[in-house]
Amino acid sequence: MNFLTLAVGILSACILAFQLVLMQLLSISHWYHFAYMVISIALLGFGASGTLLALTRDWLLHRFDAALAWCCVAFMVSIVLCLYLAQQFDFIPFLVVWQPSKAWSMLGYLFLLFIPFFLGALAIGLVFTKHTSEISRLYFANLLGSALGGVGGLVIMWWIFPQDLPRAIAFAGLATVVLSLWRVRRRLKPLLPAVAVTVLFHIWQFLSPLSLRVSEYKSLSKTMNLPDARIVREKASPNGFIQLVESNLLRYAPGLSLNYSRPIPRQVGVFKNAEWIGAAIPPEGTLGKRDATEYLQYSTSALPYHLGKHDSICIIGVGAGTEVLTALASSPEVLVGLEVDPALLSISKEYLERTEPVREYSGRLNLIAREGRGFLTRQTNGGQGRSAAKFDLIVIPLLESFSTGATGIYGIQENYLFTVESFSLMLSRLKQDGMLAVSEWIKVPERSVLKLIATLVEALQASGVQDPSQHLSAIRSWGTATLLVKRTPWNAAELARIRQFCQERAFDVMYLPGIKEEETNWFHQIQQPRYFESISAILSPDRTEFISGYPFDITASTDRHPYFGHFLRWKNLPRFIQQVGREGVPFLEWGYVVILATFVQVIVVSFVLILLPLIFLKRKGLELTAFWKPALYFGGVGVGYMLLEIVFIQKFTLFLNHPLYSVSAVVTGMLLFSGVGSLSIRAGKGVPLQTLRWILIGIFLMCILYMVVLPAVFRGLAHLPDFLRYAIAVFLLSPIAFLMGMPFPSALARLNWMNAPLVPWAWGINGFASVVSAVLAIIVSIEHSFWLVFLLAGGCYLVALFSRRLE
Amino acid sequence: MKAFLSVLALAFSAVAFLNLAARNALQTEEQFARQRRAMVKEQIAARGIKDSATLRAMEAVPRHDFVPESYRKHAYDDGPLPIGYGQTISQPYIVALMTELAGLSKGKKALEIGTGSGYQAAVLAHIIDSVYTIEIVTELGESARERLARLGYQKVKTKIGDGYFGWEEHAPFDAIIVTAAAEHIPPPLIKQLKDGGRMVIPVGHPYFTQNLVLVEKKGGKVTSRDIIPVRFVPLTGGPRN
Repeated sequence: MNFLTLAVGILSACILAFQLVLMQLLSISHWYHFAYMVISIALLGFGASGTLLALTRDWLLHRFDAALAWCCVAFMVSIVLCLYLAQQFDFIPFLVVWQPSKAWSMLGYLFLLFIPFFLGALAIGLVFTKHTSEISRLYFANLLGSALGGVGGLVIMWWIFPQDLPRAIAFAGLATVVLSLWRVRRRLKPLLPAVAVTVLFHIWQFLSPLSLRVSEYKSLSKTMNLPDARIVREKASPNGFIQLVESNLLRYAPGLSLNYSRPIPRQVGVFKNAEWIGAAIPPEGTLGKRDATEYLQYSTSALPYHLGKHDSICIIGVGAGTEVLTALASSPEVLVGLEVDPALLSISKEYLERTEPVREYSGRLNLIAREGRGFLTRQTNGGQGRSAAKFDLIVIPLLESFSTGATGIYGIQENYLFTVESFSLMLSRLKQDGMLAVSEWIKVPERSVLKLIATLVEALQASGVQDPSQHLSAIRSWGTATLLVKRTPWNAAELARIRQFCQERAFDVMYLPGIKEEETNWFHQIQQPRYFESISAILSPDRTEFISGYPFDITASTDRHPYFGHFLRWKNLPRFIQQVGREGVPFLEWGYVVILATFVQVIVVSFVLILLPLIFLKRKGLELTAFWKPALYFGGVGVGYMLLEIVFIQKFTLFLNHPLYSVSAVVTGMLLFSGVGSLSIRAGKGVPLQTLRWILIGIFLMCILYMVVLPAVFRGLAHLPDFLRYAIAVFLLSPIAFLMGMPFPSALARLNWMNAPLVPWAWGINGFASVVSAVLAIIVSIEHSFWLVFLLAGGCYLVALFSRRLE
Repeated sequence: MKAFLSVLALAFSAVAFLNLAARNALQTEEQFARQRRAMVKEQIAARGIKDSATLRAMEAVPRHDFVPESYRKHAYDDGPLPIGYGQTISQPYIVALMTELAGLSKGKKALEIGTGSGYQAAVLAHIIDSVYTIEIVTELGESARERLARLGYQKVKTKIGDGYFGWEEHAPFDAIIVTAAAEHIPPPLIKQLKDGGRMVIPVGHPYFTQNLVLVEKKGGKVTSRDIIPVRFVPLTGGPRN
């Protein structure tokens, strides 16, 4: 039995680690939003395995030893083999829009990725079904293994290159094969083919390692098409896979002025997950050429450096480092550069320190691997007690790459940097006459810049500014916009300098205090010069009315709804489709579209796969009426658990300042304490019904409590150091996670006692419910709020409570 | 005798087969021509392209010869198609719109950056005599050169190289069409634009052209403007009430 417990633990760890690895691999080979599909695929694997178990329970249990061994072998092999086969597919997701028949190749691609999860879950489900009386211990092993897999998956990403990660997990999976074979070592003969497959597989892996095929439409692939392009460096980390490409043909200068006519220095392309994030300038690019970085002064983001001298500057998002070079031209006394990705920062730092401008810089350059908001919350002036460090200029350079910015694939990602609360914090960290500069790609029709202005205006008002119209200025080129806000009103001299800057570079003024409409839309003309009109409306008392009537969602982004990249308004969608039809397709938010498509797919597939065993089981003499109560119970528990897990990840991202830390803390904390919870219930029949009722009520009440209390807790503890906040996050999750670990195994044990054939079905329905709710949580968060997700999760446990009568 | 009859039968079959194949090819060409006319009418003219030279050129160029074999049946569909190396042959409407925006007429000279399959260059060649096109991906450039020559577009001058610096020995140009989206507009191209000349650059993903930037040079002054291929006016104007 111990062998089995250990095997379940290792299998669970491998499955979760593979899920994380697959998310990373799909982010590299395709795009980030496919990561959400992976969650659904994984959970669908669990659900489908339950279905198969329900249909073939007796047959499989009769051959338990062989079935388990073969499942373990097949799981291990499929991790690498299915990825290899999936990469052979001509998978062009965008083409589905123009040729719907291409959806079949997409389905085939996703089906291949589903197989390892299905096989792994089948092995676990098999053990659960065979040894239901030991369910609490097995469930504990399952949850503990998953928790360790979650952490382990992230840890190995620091050390192993992405293309080698599946091999590493398959190697770990070898342990489950050994365990499953070892326990039947005296009857091994019939399983010798399984041993042979295992040996052959590892020889194949050794001789022909998997290579990662990146979509030809990603910027790395396009750059590698250049005749002299070569990858000169790679760095792996869970934050993303960084690759540096050298080519004499690389020139990156976003939104460069049409008036700039001089050459651009040699650059090194910096790619993260195969997408452009910027260009580093090698030392020979600047050596002996004092004006080599002059082109940087010809972008809209250079504006703040031309409005007087700033003694202290803070750049939030160093990226490839060009913003640092732009800022150095104004010779600040202190320049702090923050970058959330330590691997990226170490590379940027290395390049920056060898460039001539940095070597000549006599001030203090401080490049720190920290998230901007977390840094500003905690940073204090060393010698002046606990008073916060203040800057003359805080800069947020262009985020996203050009192509991803255009397709809006980050619309589904929480962005706690671009919120009213975040900008308010930045304003409070400015010196009296300081300014905040934010640059953004221009999207057509106008939406991102307007949303940014709406957010900045609310932040100004929250900071006590009576008339934000006197504190804002905005300029644009043909591709980028830069917005500046000051704590004090702009003076005439500053406004004159802004006008001059724009005139010299052929940039347009979007808004300045006191500006007239005829001053706008000169150099880069837009068809309907609505910026002036729209910005004026946002600055007017009728702001709310204007924003609510705007066709895109340009409502100020807040910590309660931190989706800066989300613009789609459902109420306008039918009219949008009716009026612009297929031509409007380029203007959709692709990240959100993929999520919605995933949601529809999983509902359809889940529905079919749940109904299927119902029909077959009915033939075995079980009445349909026996199903609905366990369906409601296990469905409710499944949906509730996943809704809470996802919403905790979303909420804790703010507290831990990084989505990766949040995923790690929440997944580990919840699985670990749920595992302890499951272990605490007695074997056989689970907890008494009366206790189970109180547990379910307790979970519901705690949902409400977390919903109300978490924001205040986060605010109160935000100043604590990283490790302490991480520990607090795990601790905060422990009570609810402990309780959440009990309802599933407890009811499963009871079901086994009363109606054993329904056990695999319950396992399946729980899995399917999780599939649907993982995506549902994201949609509800985007469309409404985190609050509703908490309420829905609590509600699901109440549904389970009312369907509790399993007798 | 037996052998002679066999050879005769074989020759007969071959002639019959070739005849059938030729007729099929002719029928297919006719079908493609019909699809092309429908494409111009329903996808291009219906969306507001009025320039007669552009419409004639779009109707004349056999788009199916510029797409990979596996996509020929989709050649006249209302959408872009992959041509390899992360490039696409643009949606017919976008090609027509860029051609119209270039404002070309007989006697003018155009430069295309990003030959791709050569389709845009072929369209231009139906309007003007001097078409220059540069492709940086060697494989694409060579196959486009061969294709253009095979289809009779000898007046299109092709070059494999870095389009960033334009084609100085043939500069200045009346129009420059950049077929790949860029995050900045190359300064050398602006230099090689004639006074009164126009440059068209798409913005967005290869499959989703969201915006075209039209750069104009007049009296040494360079201005640009957005051309959104979709009419959003009623959409943005409507809901405010």
